[in-house]
Formats: sequence, structure tokens, C-alpha cells
Amino acid sequence: MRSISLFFRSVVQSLVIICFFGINTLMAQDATEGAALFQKNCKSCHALDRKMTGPALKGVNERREEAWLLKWIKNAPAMIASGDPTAVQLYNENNKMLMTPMPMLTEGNILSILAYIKTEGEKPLAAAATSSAAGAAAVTSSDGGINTYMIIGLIAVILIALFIILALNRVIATLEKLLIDGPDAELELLEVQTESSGLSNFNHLVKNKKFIFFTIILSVIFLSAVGLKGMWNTGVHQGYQPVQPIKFSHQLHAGLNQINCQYCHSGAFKSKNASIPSLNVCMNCHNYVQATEKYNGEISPEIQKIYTALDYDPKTSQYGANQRPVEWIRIHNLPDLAYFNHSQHVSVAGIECQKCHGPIETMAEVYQYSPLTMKWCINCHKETEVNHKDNAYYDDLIAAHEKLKKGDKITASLLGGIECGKCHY
Amino acid sequence: MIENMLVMNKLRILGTAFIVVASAAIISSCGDKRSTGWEYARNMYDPIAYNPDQPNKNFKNGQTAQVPPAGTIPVGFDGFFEYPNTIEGYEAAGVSLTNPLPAAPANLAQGKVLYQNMCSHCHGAEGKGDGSIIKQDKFPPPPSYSTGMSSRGGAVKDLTDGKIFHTITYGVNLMGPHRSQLEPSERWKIVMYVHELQKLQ
Repeated sequence: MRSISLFFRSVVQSLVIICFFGINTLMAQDATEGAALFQKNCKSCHALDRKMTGPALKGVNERREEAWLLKWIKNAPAMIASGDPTAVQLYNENNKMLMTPMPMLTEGNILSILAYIKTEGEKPLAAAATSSAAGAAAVTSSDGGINTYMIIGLIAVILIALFIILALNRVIATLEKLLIDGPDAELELLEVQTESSGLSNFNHLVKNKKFIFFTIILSVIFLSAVGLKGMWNTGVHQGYQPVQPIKFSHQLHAGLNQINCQYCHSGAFKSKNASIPSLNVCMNCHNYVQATEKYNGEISPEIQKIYTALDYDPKTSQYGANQRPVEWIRIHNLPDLAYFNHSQHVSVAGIECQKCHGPIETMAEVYQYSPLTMKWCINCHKETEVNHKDNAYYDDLIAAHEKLKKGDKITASLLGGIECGKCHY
Repeated sequence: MIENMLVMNKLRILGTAFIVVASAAIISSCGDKRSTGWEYARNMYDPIAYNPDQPNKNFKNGQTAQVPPAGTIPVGFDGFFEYPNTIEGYEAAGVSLTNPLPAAPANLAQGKVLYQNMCSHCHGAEGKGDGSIIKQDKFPPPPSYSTGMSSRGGAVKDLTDGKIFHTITYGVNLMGPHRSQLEPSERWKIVMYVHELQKLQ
């Protein structure tokens, strides 16, 4: 009897344990399936702990009944149309945005999404704040290539000159020793030794013509090196890296995130100016991206500068009236006497941005990569081959040459002689 | 005596040479990257007319770049877009607005380039909602063009010319408006390419 009851007890115990684990794994399965479904269907508009397009979903399991949620998620617009009071209220609270109907989700699917929201919402908040890997990579400063070489060359020249003079000195010394090798030498040696105080040393130095000559030569070389470098660099802003009002990193945006240059500098492809993006372009992403995980749940101070400039309240997603532009500091500045057109280089010639702006996708802070001197422009214009194939810009030019080859006469208008800008500039 | 002086001078010569070389190296390396350096005739850099990005005290808001007066039409403007940013405007555009550009291969090719430059970092190269930012989990994924559902009803693959154009112009949900970055003709070229991506499986 006793053994039977013991047996039953153990069976019941193990059954209970099995059931417990079974349910647990079942729930876990639900949650993992739910996570995948949430990622695919919900995440575009919903986050757990903040309002996005739709409301924050944390605690939705308590807020609403399961039957209502099932119906709502399957077809929200129909529920609003049917006049369900909660549905209509939600619709009005969320800027009258309709929730995408999800007819493809089964009841089981929806339940596992809800299980995911429940388990995820119960997790403590501190779990975030993972990788801040991006970091500021060391920016290789390119302080004027030519000039560094120039200075190294000069130093080398000075060292060689010094070496030659020392060698000559030694030769002269040996010669003198051979010529003036008499009894006086020892006497004078004694004399010098007794007199060798600091002042007399200096006097000897000043009287020494060789030394004076050498000093003058050295100072002339030094001054001309400094002067040449100064003149060479006058008006050349290469390496200029001013502190910008917002610590915007091209390394993060163009490098890591691979956002194309044109997305923000849309002018580069169609106008003279590459254009600094206005803040509405920033807000296309930063209405959502706030980098809170790196700042203990606070909005990144640099992103906050965008919001401040736009008088934007991230809590209500409303813009105020007191808006002002960000005062970026211009780095690349051609003198007003030179005309430069971005679209001509980017769209017609098809030149990569990096050709002039350097490895911009690795710059945490932008500096002027190229010297932007006339010589630099001209060298590139001398070397670059024009690609006129399938390039509408050169059609007229090629047509004119074809005509000339055939022996036809060409008119000024064929060469753009009747374009408005030729006369009305 | 001369010999001895030379011996002593050698030290001094070496010393002077060292100081000169060292100071030359120091002076040449101390260029300040925060400043533009020496400038001659700064007024040749500064234009007589105002640059668009310059402060300007002649205007109330202190900017040179001003918003054009209402109703201004820029040179080369290619068409009005009178559909408002509402669900009604969206539906109306979907019904009555069609792509004015001919379906030429050149337009489609340009649309592809524009799509890759302006859209693909979110929507992905094939419009599956898996662009570079989405893959890094920095932004929520947009619905796939070929398999996703639109929040304004129907499948994304069934969206018409006008609806896509309306969406690029005004944005929807987390997607911002892109009318300041893309001219109408550029938007139409992108619409053309998006239709190609909708057909993918």
C-alpha cells in the first residue's frame, strides 16, 4: 500500500515538474515566435517603452482585454469604422493614424506577440546600454603634405651642411697642426688653458669668422624656411578643422550607417553648392533616433541641439515657433574670384566626393583635405580625361566636331551662343 | 691656439645647429588646425553679395536664405502637387495622379541611382526593408515593397503611382517628408523604380 502511494506521489511530482517545465518552454517558445513576428509586423510603428507612430506597448496586456486586442490587431480600421469607443479614442489620440490591418496573423500568432510584449515589458529597464563601439576614431591629420616634406628636406640640407663644415674643420685643423708644429704651440696651449673663463670664450667666439659665417648661414636658411612655409601657406586652409556647433560625425553617418552623401547634400548633384542640409533632413531620422542607450536614457546632448534649434518637443512631437538655424562653420571656402560648381564635377564628370574631400567617411570631425589652390585645380584638369560617351552634357560639343570633320560650317548657336547666360549674367 | 678653439667651437657649432634644427621643426609643426592660418587679402574670400549661408542683418530673422513668398514658382518647376497631406489627399492622389514621365530606360536607370542614394539605407537595395541602418537595428524596419502591408490599407506591392509619390512628398509614420531633397521629376523617377521593386518576390 505504502509503496503504491509512494509510487503515485513520485509520479504526480514528476508530472507536475514536467508540466511546469513544459508550460515554461511553451511560453518561451511563444515569446521567441512573438519576437520574430513583432520584428516583422509591429516594429515599424511600435516600441515597447516609448510612443512612436503608435502608442508604447508595454503593459498593453493589462490595459486591454485579450479578446479586444485580438480583434483590434486583426483589423483596426474596421473596428474604428464600427464605432467601438476605445478604438475611436485611440484613433483620435494618435493623430488619426490608422493601424495597418493584419489579416494574415492567426490568433496563435497574435497571442505569441502578446506573450512577447508581456515578457519583454516585465524585464528591468537597465538591461540596455550595450555597445558604444562607434567611438571617435583617430583622425589622421594631414597637415599639408608638401610642406612637411619641404621642412624635412630643409632639415636634411642643414644637417648635411653641418656635416661638411665639421669635416672641413677637421681637415683644416690637421693641416694647421702639420704647418705650425713648433715650440710656440705648447706655450699658447698653456696660455689658453689659464685664460679659459666664460667671457674670454665668448670673445674668442665672436672673433672667430668661421663661426660667425656659419651662424649667419644657418639663420638665413632657418628664416627663409620659415618665411617660405609662411608664404606658401598664406590663404591655404588645408587641414583646417574648426569646432562645429554640433559634434556631427561623418564617420558614423556616412561610414558606419552608409547613408549616401546625396541624401543630406542633395545639392551637390544638381547645383553649384553641395548645400548644408537643413534641419528637416536631420529630423527624417532623428525624430526616432535619439541615442538614449548611450546616455542613460536621456536624449543625446548633440541630438538635443537639433531639437532646441527647431524648438521641437520630443515628448509631444510638436514644433514650436522659435526656430533658428544651426550656425555651422564653413570649412571649404574658395575666394569669391573663383567659380566652382559641384554639379559639373559630380554629375557631369562623375567624380567621387572623396577625390576632393578625402576619406570623409572616416572623419569623426571634418577637416579640409585638399589645398584648394589654383595649382591643385589645374593639375587635376590637366590629368583628367573627359568621358564624353553617353554624357548628354557633351552632345553639342561632339556634334559640332562631327560637323567640322564633314566640312560643314558651324554656327555660334551650336556652341551655346544663344544661351541666356552668355549675355545676361 | 687655433686648434683648441676649433675643438671648443665644434661643440658650440653642434649646439647651435641642434637648436636651429629643433626650433625649425617646432615652429613648422605648430600650425593650429582650428584656425585658417595666415591670410592675405581676406576680402577676396568674402563675397560682396551675401552667401546663402551667411548671417544677414537686413532680414528680420537674421538669415540670408529666405523662404520664397507663397506661390512662388522656381525656374524649371515641373508641375503642381495639389494633394494635401491627409488620408483623403493620399487616396485622391492614388486615384488620379499618374507618372508624367515616359517609361524610358534612361528614366528608370536614373530612378535606380536616386533610389540607391536616397532610399536604400532604410528600404534596402531591393525594397525589402533591410537597409544598412535597419540591419544595425538603429531604426525600425519599413514594410517590404513586395510582401509588406501598408498602414493606409492594402499591400505595399499594390500601391499606385500617386500613392507612392504622395508618400515620398509628405512621408508617412516614421518616414519623413522628402520634398525638400527631391524635385518632383526625381520623385517620379524613383516611383518608376519602386514599381520594379514591388514586382520582386
